[in-house]
Amino acid sequence: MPQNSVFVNAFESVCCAGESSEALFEAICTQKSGIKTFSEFIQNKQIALGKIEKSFSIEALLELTCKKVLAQSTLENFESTLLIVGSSVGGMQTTEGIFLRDHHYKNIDPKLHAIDAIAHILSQHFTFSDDISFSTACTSSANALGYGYEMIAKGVYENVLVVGFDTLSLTTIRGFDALGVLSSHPCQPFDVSRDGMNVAEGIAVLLLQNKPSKGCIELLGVGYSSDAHHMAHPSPDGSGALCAMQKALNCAHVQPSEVGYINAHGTGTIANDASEASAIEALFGSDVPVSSTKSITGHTLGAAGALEAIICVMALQKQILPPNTNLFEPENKTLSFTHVAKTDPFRYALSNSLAFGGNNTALLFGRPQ
Amino acid sequence: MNVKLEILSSAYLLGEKSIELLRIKELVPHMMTRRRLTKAAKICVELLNSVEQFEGGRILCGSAFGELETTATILNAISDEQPLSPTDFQNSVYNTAVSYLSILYHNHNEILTLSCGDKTALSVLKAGALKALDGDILLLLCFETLNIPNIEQVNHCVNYLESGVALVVKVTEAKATLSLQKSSLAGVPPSISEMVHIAQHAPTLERAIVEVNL
Repeated sequence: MPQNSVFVNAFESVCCAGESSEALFEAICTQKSGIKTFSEFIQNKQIALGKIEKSFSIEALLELTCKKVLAQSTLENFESTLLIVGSSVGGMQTTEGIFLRDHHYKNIDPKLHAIDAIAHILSQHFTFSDDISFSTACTSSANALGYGYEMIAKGVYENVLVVGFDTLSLTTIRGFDALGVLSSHPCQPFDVSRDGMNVAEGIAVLLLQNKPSKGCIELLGVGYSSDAHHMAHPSPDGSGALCAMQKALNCAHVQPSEVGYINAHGTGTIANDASEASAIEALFGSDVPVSSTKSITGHTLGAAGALEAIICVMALQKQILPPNTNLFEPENKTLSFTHVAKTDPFRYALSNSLAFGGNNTALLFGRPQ
Repeated sequence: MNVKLEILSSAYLLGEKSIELLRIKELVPHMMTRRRLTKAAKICVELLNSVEQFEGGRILCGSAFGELETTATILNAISDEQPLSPTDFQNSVYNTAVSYLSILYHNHNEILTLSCGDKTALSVLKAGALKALDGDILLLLCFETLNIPNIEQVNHCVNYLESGVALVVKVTEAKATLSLQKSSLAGVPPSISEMVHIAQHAPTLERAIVEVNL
């Protein structure tokens, strides 16, 4: 049983759809996708990706985004703050650059290769009380948020900084291509004509605290589950995702009928969207507005959970239901998909993250009483 | 906050080059399934079957470098402009090994993977302590599989290229009986060292209890 409430008091993000969270939310509501077509990543093939427009150094992007969150907060520094990182590939982009140049490992710094590279870089610029990094593929930063929730709810920390971060790498782009799930145009989550996903990069940083700030949103619950089905395919009936969503609601003592918006994982792949739609339909029927925002942001992999948490937080703050984009003919005829941004009073928003290995995490956010 | 964890069962495996897993055919009899498993997944299967008192609850796993063999295979394929194997790619994520455990043993519970460099084992113990406050029994795992061609170009301190350790834990109010420190065994990967220390000494104690400072 939680001892403390958990509030999202500050946040910031950068992705292909915007250099700030405000720009991102505007892009979602006006349905302006940041996904573009590239031909340089796979020989003789065009693919659509979510690449951050301005060139950046990983170190500078991490430092700047965390500084912006610190500036929004009442904290003077992060010395009493736990850093929790969620990343799928960590420093892989750096490793690839060195290995493809040198064709040997000698110049690869192990500290800048692994998942821990993100925390290592941030520790050069900030002092944290402690740090921990999660890597569970596309649920990485959702699990980081879940861990942050537990740390505060159980009274261990008062301040937790969650960083979701992944950059584009040849490993992920060509890996998803090998699986045959990359689209050559901005993805169409839940559409009957969907043909795949868009790998993307992004950073999303959220400050969780045990005391509320003005206008904050509460992180009310987390639910975890495992499909125990297949490494790369979700269980067809969505039973794993359903279990995670049920657990998040149970954690917060919220009924399905009280939820006002679901930000689906919705990658645009045939398998994910059919499975997830089944899970949402089983728990919520046709009653709750659902959208996937990946047709705007692409799939930022390990950063997606944190990025979509920010979208849920902003939707609750602004009381705007984010729309689907490129959804013309829904495959699932029961779910209540939103097609345009709509102002509508609602109290709770649920964010789904689903990953390789059948790893499922659902996060429930709400407006404080 | 300090949390005391009782070690209900433990096991560890260390191999200078490779760990010979003599029971893997018996533990995973289906050949096609066995062939898909990474070495880390096989080590985790062996460890799971070596510990007692864990009946399929939550699992926390840690590895500093994850599935290094498939990562290196992918990197070399990219370098050689060769197509990637879809199986290699799906097996390259850090949660591969424990995901196979969930599939093989139909475990639908929360299963998380951490990667925190040299602090990985300590972080797994901290995360385990936080989760164990809920009152259940957890399986904590750590592994490294560093046995890839040319690893000597970057490895200067690890003597055991393949390693794994498992602890079955629950929260207790009793006094700590075992200190939390790195293993005294030279050449153990730093990322699994604290858990190896516990696994080395826990069987010698009537009750093995460590205090974890969150």
